[in-house]
Amino acid sequence: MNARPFFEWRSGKYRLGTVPAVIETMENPATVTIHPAANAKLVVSEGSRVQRAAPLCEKPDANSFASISGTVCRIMRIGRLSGPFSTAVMIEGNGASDLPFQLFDPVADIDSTDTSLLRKNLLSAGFSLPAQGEALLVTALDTDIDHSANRFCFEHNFPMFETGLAVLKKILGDGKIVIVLGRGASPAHKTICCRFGDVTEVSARYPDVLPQIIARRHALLCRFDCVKVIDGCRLAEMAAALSTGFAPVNALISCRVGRSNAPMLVSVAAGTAAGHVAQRLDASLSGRVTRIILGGIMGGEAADTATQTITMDHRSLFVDTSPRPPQKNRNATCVNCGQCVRVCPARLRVDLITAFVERSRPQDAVRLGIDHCIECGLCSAACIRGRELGHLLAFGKSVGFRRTKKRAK
Amino acid sequence: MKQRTLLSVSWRPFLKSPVSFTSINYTLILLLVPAATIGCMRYGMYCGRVIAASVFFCMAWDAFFGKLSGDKEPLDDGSALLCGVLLGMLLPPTVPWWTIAFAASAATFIGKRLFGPVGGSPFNAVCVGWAAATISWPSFVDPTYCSVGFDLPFDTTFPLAELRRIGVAAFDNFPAAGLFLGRQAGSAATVAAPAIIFAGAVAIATGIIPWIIPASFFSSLALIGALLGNTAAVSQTFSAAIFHTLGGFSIIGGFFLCTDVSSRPISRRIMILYGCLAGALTVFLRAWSDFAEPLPFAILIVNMVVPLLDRRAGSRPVHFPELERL
Repeated sequence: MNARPFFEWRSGKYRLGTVPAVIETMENPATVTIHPAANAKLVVSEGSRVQRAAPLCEKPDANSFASISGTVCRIMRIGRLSGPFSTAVMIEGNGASDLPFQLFDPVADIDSTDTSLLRKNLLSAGFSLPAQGEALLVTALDTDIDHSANRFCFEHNFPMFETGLAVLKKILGDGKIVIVLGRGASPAHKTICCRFGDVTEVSARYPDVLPQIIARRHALLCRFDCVKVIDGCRLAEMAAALSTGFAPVNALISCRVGRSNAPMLVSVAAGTAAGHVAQRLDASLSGRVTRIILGGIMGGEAADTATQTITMDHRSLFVDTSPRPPQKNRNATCVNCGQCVRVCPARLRVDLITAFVERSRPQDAVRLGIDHCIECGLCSAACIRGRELGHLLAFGKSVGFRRTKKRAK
Repeated sequence: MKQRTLLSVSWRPFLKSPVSFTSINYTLILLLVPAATIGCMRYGMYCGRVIAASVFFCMAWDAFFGKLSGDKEPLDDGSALLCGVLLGMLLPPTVPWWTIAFAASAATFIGKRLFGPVGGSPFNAVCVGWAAATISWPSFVDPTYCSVGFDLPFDTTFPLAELRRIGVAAFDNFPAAGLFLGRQAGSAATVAAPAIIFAGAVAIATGIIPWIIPASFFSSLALIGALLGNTAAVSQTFSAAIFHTLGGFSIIGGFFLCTDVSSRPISRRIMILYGCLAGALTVFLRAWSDFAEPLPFAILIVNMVVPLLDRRAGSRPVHFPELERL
């Protein structure tokens, strides 16, 4: 487990690293807090005993199962600034050992699992899988950003990507997987993909990718009877669906502690506090944690307290140990350096688009293709003036579409 | 784990580039300190006076015009300081103080603040200030005879002025090694050539300035210079290339004036075109203009073309005709 090789970003290049030594066994959290849907009707009350994976309300969704066995110790109504009140159910564990709060090894753990169980879980999660003898085309479109050109990387997506592919390989057995790497694919992606199937690199450039994938698909249609296509960003969902196969109420999250460590996959009981996971991942860091970000560096949200709970919707966790938050400056003006344009995976003129948004000209922003922004945040990360470009782009997208729709009427 | 507040209200991403505009400016200033020191060693405190006055006036004018235009922190990013250092290195050591004040005001007002906050200008502010002073008082700013009274260990004539006066025979007066080691009179920018080359190399190695612009600029200077300077002997072709690449303000121009953050192009492909245009125009103006060193004029002219070239930068991924009609 500890020697599993992995790509990490060190001194300007991707190098083969290893997952750092971590705590082998993790303690179960004493309490978990489950947040069912806002208007859910609870079937439990304070003091009632619940079993693991028992539903807490009528018509339960993914986030309304008890993730540990124990006693419901508190039911809270949480007010929000906008929207309805939501309910939180706090469950105190009874110390049962049925809780796999564990590190997750994509390859080994999936190899030791029954194929029919995997298939059943994926089908119940809404995935359609190819039949025997059919080819599966996985496109890596939209999975990630071109890291090789940037100093910022999205390693927390790699374990999910790898896990999704491992699941597919295990289920398909002799079936053929054809992986088409499109926009945003990095050398690390290619190395991961080569272990699981035939890899075709279409192009690193966006405008050429879609037609070529379609052409490729037609070519495959001629060779095989039928081709199923799975988009790369669904691989993470597939990996998460798989983790519910092992433990119906465990979230699979890709965790990173600090900015230089490699990510690791952890299967966590839903409702666990983010601070608990951070502490368990590296006990020596507990004094140095400055921020906990649910959802990763680029696409996440900062947790407001260490007690913020991990739900089934979370995919990654970033525990920041640097003393200062990134410097951002709302008043800074663009100096026309072009860094944002060079890092943009959609190849947008981010400088012009944000200038139009700032000057209340959303139609011009739409004309320059603001709707193709995938809100990856690379422009914000790279901006040498600390401008909040991602914020401006998201704002411009909403305003621009509203105005153009109005005008179209 | 202690219960502590981790509230951090900000938009993603939660990682920032360690490089900032301020850090770039101060790093460049730090890299230029050895060059300024060499200039002071050659010209004594005359050169130090020019650089100090230029820095003072640039920062004072920037604070003044910044306050007028409502900028809250006009001097925070170090761009005025960098502008002052570069302008002081371009101006000859004998220039009077009021010319420096005028050049600094032109650089700050016309080159920067007229176009809005920092970075809005398409021009290189240093070149604007130098050009305004050169057009207004050519005899004070002309580097040709400014070094005559100084006790320099080499010829006190400006190499490009010598080229205009005696033609290709100037190649023999200024050997390549001498030009490279800064044995060319003029200003701090010319006598400190090796220090500027070192500073440029460090800046390129640390990624502050893109290597493409100096590379294309110098190769264009060498190529066009060799073509234009080829009069009689083949051996002079090489001399002409070296002379245009290392003589005058070529070195500081290629490393520090062309690569100004806000006036250089965005796309890397267009940077090649930009550098080549600037180099070619420099050689043309050296051959057929009235100024001894027209390099800043060439950079200003190419700066005007950059926004047009930049329209090719980036690309719209997919066209939506129905959105365009709206």
